[in-house]
Amino acid sequence: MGSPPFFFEWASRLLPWLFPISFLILMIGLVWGIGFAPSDYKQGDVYRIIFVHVPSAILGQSIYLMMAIFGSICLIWRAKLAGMFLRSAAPLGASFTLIALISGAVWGKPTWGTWWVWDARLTSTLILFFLYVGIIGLYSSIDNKQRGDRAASLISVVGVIIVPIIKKSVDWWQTLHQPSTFSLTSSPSMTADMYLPLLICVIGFYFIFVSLLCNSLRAEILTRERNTGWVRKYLNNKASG
Amino acid sequence: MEFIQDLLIMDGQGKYVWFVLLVFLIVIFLNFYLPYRTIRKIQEENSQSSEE
Repeated sequence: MGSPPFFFEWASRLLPWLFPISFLILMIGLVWGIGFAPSDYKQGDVYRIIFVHVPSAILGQSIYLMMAIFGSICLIWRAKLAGMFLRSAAPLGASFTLIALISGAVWGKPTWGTWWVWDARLTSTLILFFLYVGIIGLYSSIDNKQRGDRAASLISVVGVIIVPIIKKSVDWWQTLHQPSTFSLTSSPSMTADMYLPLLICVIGFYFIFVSLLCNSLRAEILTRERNTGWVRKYLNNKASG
Repeated sequence: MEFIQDLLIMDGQGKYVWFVLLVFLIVIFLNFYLPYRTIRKIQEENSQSSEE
């Protein structure tokens, strides 16, 4: 599984199934949440932003956690695929964190009366976004791929401290942001007809992430290994149809 | 028809919800399209070099 040719073939076979399944799950969650879930008695319909905001925020943090794990693997065992994972996952993590920040700002305007406040949850999420941007920037500025992998691994391992800070920020500091929507230790604070579509959206977002990651990793593997025999053979087979 | 209108307007809050959904769809599309374009480019370069 750790070998790029094996992963490439495995991902190429999986993707034609994974994308449609991901979109189906996502569509069910979003249509249910935005079209049919009841309105919130306090916020009205604007709360429906939750069906994009919460899954994006969860993914933004989860991807960073995964990057820290793969970063450690890259630093300890110098696994090639782990470095490629970091390179491919960083733009996705930045994208989901950016969606969480934008959707949070748009949600904040009608409910808090402002697009942005420098509160603990928002500021720590902004730092997470900057960490992603830093890793992407590192890859762009370092020509040597292996050195780029090691530098990115180091940032992802050191920067992972931000994830528990984001998670606990609503408990440790007084913030405008509401407490966590998902908790392993307590029952949901919303009714089932709001909670279930949200849960489906979270699952759909994870599926979309895996699909996009496989797609992105295929591009990264082809870019890095384009001079190897197996890639030339693959490309020649593609060209001959 | 009334359901669609209500869904779009959402008592004046529709602009916020639909804007967020639009941003989400654009970002997802870009994350799909850019690696896809890279793969296509490598394939095209390879077929050009093999023709030469």
